[in-house]
Amino acid sequence: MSEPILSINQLYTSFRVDGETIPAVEGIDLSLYPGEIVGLVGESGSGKSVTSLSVMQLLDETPGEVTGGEVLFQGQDLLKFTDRQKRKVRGNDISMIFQEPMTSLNPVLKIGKQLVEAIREHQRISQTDARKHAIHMLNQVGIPRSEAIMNEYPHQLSGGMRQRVMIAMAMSCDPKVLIADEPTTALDVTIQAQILDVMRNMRDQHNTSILFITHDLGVIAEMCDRVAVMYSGRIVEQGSVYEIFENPKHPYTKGLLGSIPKLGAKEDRLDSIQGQVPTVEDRPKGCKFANRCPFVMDHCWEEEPPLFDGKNRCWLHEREEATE
Amino acid sequence: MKEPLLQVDGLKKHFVSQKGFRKSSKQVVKAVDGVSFDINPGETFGLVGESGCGKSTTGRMIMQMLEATEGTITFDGERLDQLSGKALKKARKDFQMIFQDPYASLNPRMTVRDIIAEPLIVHEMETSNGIDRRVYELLDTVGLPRKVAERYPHEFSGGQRQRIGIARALAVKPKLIIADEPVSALDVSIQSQVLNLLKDLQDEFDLTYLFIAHDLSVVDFISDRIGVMYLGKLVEIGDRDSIIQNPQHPYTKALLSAVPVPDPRAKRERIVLEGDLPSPSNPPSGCPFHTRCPFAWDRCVNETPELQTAETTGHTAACHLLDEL
Repeated sequence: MSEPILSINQLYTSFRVDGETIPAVEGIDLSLYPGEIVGLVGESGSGKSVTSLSVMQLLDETPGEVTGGEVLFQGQDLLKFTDRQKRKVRGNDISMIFQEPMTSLNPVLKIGKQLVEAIREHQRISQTDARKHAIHMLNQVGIPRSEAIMNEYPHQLSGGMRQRVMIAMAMSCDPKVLIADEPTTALDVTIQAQILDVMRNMRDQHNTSILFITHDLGVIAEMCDRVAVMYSGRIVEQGSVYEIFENPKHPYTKGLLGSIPKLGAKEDRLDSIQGQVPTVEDRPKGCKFANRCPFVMDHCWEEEPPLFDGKNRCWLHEREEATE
Repeated sequence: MKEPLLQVDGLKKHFVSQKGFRKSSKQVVKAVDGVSFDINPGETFGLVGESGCGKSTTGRMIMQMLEATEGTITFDGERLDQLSGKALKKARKDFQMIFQDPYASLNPRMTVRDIIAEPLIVHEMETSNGIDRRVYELLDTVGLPRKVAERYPHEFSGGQRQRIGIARALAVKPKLIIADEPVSALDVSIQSQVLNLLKDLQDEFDLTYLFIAHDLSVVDFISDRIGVMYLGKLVEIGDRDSIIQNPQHPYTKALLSAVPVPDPRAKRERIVLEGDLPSPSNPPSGCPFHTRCPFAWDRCVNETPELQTAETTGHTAACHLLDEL
């Protein structure tokens, strides 16, 4: 097995609000191998987006701070990089696309100018060549009349087109890792299908590794090779997409899968998870899922389970292993 | 055969926007362009479509929050579009709405008690002693503890706020509830709780729902019948199972095939639609879907297809190639 291109080891990130420290990510381990699409799934507040921002080191503008761990990219710890080194990596070796393409594009600059700027930041090529490359990238993501679009402003494009432009920009320097944070959440399903196709083609052609962050389990099943499920700042279960969907072990993963209505299933009721995600102050001392778990045991309230085999954070799993 | 509770016939909403210097040129946006359907008592009718198809505008016209440009709305034997003033206020008691955004639809300066009590006071349904009892009863019904009555909306999560919104809608014992994307702002584990709750309430209080949403899996779960909208028109309408298992209109087929299925082994025969939704201010001639339809031919460009019953399935779709595809 090859080396991971990106590995996140024991990452801790917290936010300082009114003098208090609020933990958002607490000890995440996750690896991304070349050409692989890994899904990071969780509900709001689970820490999935904070994980991606920590990797990209985009927390400077926020009260958030990485307080521990390392993020190794090709063996080097990104967290120890100087600003200059960071700039060299970001957008070049690792790029990111966000949920809302309108807020990630500059509204007063033409599409072409923004693309050329991104390309020339990392590659020493002429304006003309950069322009050619930009048009080539727009064609690759399936934008019709790409040359005309170079001279248009973001507001003139539809949501789907803007997201294509973002992908073209993110892929323009042929990154090794692409971090996609809810890239299709704001889009209609028929447009989402187009964008997912574009992303899959990009992976197939360039062997890009993708960290795909979403709350949509349908999208995960369709896109990902491996999946990590987050809850309350932790990974509670991870495995191949088949393990997670066909044989989920953690009660939270099971509950999440039971919660989604399945097309054509003619279900009368959904197996929902009771209660709601606890706020940081209300998180149980032991397992963070204890207050919502249908299988909760005394032990769960006392001590937090480790990630057994690196796969599943649940005491039931330990018991299963013992009986096997 | 029972009379339908709601009959919508030829409903249109054309927004006129004035453009240019001195607002000299007019542009007409046909948000809803001739929509007709019935909803029977006790039934859930799901209205589904992508953004801009006119599904919310349709809901708002039925709610009498927007005036229809054309068409009739008959509710419980009464022409809602002709009512006004006191008569309309009286009728409103029987149809209530649940909104998409649980953050924007509750007044932040009112307590939960006042929010739920307001419709009771407006419709003079309870004496002041009765109001408290009714508010507690409603909180029990939607699964919130009674002690929340004194709290304010900001203290609640999205799912709890949606429960407050549901309690408010139920307060006046309506016959019809129009729910416009009631779960799309919620996390999946909370979404499933609210969907289950809506089903339970329907059984308990014999409610009729008009359920408006973009998420086909959700609409499939909750509906008895489904109408699919595209660019202001209903393109297909019929029983839930018939629509989901045997879609007839090419747009419905594409929409269904685009829904991501939570099964990594699912075989996908995806129909990927080319291009974007055309603008409703400049809709295509003939069939509104012809610009993206993989089967479009001459007739589709020139002639708008009417809804007609498919021989194979018995439900209706608006396509020139019905029963031929």
